Amino acid sequence: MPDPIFAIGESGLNVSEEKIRNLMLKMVNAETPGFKGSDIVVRSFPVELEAAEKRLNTMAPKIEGTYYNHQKGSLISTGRPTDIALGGNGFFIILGPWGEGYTRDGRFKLDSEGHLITVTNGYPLLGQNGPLEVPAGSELEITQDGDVKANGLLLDRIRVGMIEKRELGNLQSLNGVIFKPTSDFINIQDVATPRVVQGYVEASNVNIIEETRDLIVNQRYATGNTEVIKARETSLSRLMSIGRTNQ
Amino acid sequence: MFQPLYVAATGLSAFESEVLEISNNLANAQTVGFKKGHTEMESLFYIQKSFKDTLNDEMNKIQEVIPEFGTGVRVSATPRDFSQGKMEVTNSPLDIAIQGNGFFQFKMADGSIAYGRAGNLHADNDGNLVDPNGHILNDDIVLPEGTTGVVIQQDGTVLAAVNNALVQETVGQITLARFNNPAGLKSLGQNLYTETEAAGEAITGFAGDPGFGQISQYSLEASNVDVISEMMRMVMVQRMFDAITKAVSSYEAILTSVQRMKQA
Repeated sequence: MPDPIFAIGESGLNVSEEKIRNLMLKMVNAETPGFKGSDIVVRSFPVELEAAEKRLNTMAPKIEGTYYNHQKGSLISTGRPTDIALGGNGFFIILGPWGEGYTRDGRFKLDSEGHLITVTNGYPLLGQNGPLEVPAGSELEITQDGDVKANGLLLDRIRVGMIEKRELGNLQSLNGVIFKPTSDFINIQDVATPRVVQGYVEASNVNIIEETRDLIVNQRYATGNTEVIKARETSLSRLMSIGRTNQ
Repeated sequence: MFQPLYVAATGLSAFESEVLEISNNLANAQTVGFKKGHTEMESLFYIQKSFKDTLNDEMNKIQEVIPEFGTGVRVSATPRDFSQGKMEVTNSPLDIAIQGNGFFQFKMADGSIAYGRAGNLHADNDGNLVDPNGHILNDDIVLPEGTTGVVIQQDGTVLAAVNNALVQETVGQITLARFNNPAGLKSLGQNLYTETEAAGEAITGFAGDPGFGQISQYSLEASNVDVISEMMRMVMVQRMFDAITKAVSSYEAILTSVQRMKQA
């Protein structure tokens, strides 16, 4: 039977490894537009029932899931006509191979057929009448209400969908920027008057100061766990020496 | 093991390419017709890990969210920004600039056509209009011997006066090309671009046709690099580097402490 204190120390180290990994992910994506930071959900409480049966063995922390922070990032001016940001709540709706996807990353580009596609993987942006198509070489204008105009001519309106707060947990992320619905997801409501800002992108909502603070906490947490294991080892070795005969 | 280091490495390499792009923009801030590039980052696709095998059925009911693990960031594209640069007035009659979306067409050595915005043309010893690197303008415009004055009109018509003659004769017209998606053009260097599938096929026409823009003589299009905003990006990228390096050294401290866990 493995030593329970070693087991706890080890899972503590595993948790801090994953936490640091997630923290690094947030740091490297601090400049990725539309990126939503996430936190790892760690809990020991639900395992307490099981722990009662098996004694201390499973009281160790476990990684249970990922929680997304859907806070908005700040808007950054780019001046490019195909960059759009959402001033209000909601998501742009894009068409992925799995179906509808939701994102707040408003960096789009034109493909050779004039579709507005996402910079990531090239998923087309959906308007009220399906994927948006802009005639070649025309001056693109996107109004505050999401109306897409080419050379002043109204083409379509960008679809912006609102997802209720309690439903946000039913989204699965593709890469922290694009989200897709899971089977539990109920519905998305189209916003009649979205606030679309052309020439801007939404920055990542990662806060470097917060991450640096968490980094310190995590480092100490990991060191604490190594100390636990170290202390256990010391006490075990003392225990062994008791049985040794004096010479 | 060491996963956090791999994630950090993706960040460092992505920001390194951004520094490269910024340096290239700054170095070309005075290059005629240069179009700035910008780095688009995207986060890498996540791995969905399931811990279900380690938990019993009871636990699966409580589990509502699947843990997701990101793998880092990468540069998804470095598209060029084809917005108009400022017009600079010059003294040479063969300096021309396009105000609009058109491109000049040049013949490459291998017979293909390259597209460029730089209109600092010259005449070679045969009278051909060439760019500074000697690529001949695709329209085969030859200035007659003894040309003393050249007029290039807004629609690209080239008129030449021979031996100070009062009447100028038409020697040709410059055609322009435009693309559905100029951001998809591939850069060849020397201020030239080549068409790609993403950019769409070149549509040729004359200056003044809708969507092509106009040609103005005695002017050059300056680069559209905004030095101040490039410097701002540079500062930001540098700080990002610092932050990631800090995180790496912190993780390294954890590894050291793990190593010291086992007493000698």
